Amino acid sequence: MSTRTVVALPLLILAIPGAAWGLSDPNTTLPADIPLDTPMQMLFVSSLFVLLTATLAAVLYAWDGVSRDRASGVLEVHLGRGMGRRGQATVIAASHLMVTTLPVMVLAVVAIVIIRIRTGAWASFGDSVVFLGSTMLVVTWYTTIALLASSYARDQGTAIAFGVGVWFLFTMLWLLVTSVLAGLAGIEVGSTANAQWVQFEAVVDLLSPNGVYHHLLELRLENVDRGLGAGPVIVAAVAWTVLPLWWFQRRMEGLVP
Amino acid sequence: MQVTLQLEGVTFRHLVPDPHRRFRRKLGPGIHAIDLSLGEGELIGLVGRNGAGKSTLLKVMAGILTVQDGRVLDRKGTPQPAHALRKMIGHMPEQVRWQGKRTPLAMLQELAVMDGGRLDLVEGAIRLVGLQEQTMLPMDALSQGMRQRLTLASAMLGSPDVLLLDEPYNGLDPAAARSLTRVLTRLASRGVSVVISSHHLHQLEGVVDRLLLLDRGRLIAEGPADGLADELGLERPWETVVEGQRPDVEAEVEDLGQGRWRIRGPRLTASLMDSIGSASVIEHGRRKVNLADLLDRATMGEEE
Repeated sequence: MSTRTVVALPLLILAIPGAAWGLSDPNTTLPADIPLDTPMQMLFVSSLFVLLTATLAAVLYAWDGVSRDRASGVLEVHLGRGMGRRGQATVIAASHLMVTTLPVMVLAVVAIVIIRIRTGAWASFGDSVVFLGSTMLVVTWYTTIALLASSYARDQGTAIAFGVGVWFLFTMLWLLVTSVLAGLAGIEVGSTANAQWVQFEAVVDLLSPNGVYHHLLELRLENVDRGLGAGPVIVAAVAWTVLPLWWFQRRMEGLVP
Repeated sequence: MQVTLQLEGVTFRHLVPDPHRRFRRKLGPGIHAIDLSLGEGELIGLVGRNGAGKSTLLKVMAGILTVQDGRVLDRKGTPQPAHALRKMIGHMPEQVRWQGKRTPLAMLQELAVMDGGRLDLVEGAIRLVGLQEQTMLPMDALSQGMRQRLTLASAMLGSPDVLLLDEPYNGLDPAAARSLTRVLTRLASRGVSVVISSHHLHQLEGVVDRLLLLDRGRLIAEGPADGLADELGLERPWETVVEGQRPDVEAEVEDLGQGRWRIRGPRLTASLMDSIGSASVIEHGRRKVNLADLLDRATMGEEE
């Protein structure tokens, strides 16, 4: 087992099945009366822990996916092979995705099972598919972004700064970014009773992988409506999937080792 | 001689930051209008100062960098794009720092798959470079010499027609360097065109058939070492090595120790033989071309 797995796996286990365990306790109550009545609601809240750990694990595995081989000279050996660069980019992305998505998906399934055991109720097939699919997508997005950053970095320090910086921006700072933009747009910030703020936040969230992830999960929640239909959310999900990968392939095609 | 690879007017310049315009880049150093051809079974030395463009030239020939102007032709004279060149050429980059827990065998197998799946060639490449004992060691445990051999093995996978080696003697002890030279000479005898870029000019002396002298991205001289020396007017006096008593001659005499003497200057004539007396002649000929002097003379001409 690699050192990165030794670091990441306990965090993933604690966060994903651990959150499901805690949230499925009937005595658990959340602030602001956030409901935990249905399995999907429990999975939705546990997605916060997915965003804290699974996305960080994706960055942990992928931050040096290109920069390490570039610094050591191994990248030049690879680029000199008969295999085309686009194919090599696809293989690099796929191999890093598998390393992160496999354990995360297994633990996400475990979370669904834990909720069933603790509450007696299965998440519906549709809810489970959306939860698992969205979780896989958000890990994919972070992996691709980290690989893209790694392909631009000329040294390991820059590579990790890029990777962690992107994670920090979308996970910790995005609300601040949204608030600043709302303020500049003259919208009162922070009140969930303010429909203008709720809709503005929903639109800005389309520009964040975490935001799109939550939008996808919210499609399965009955009492959530932020003024965006499924259409823009799905378009954003497709864009976050296709664009970084396309950009990464283009980057690899022109990379000078 | 059959030509295996030909370059016509090949130019490649690296993009470098533009000091006058922030966040913009401009064309910087590289190689300019290179014309050359590689013959089958030729051993060619590529020499030049730091920053002359040797590595860039090798990468362009290997198809790692795409030609910006000019073209690269195969043995049939057909222009080839970069991805096609990679399939016929083996490239050994400079100083690859293999690391990790994977073994050389696993790494070479992965590279063979990237070349189209010829796993049967892996064992041959390992044997050719003498890495049989180390195939199952983690790459972290390899010495510098073993890493160089692994890089060479990776270049030889796929039995390329052309082998391009960037500073292959770096980190090798003298015995390993001699062993490498023997391997390369054997490959050349099998018809592989071998280009060696090296700062260790003494390693190339007497080994390569032809030299390519590169300076500031341009090919400034090309040909056999002896021919180039004459062309550039490099002084190559006659030298005679004798064994015995110190010869009484009107020429520069150097004591080589163990009763041997080197006479510089005059050709071996009857009068010189008389002057040598009872000492026996071990060697006679023009002084061997010193590549460092050759490079200095060639680049001095360019600076003028």
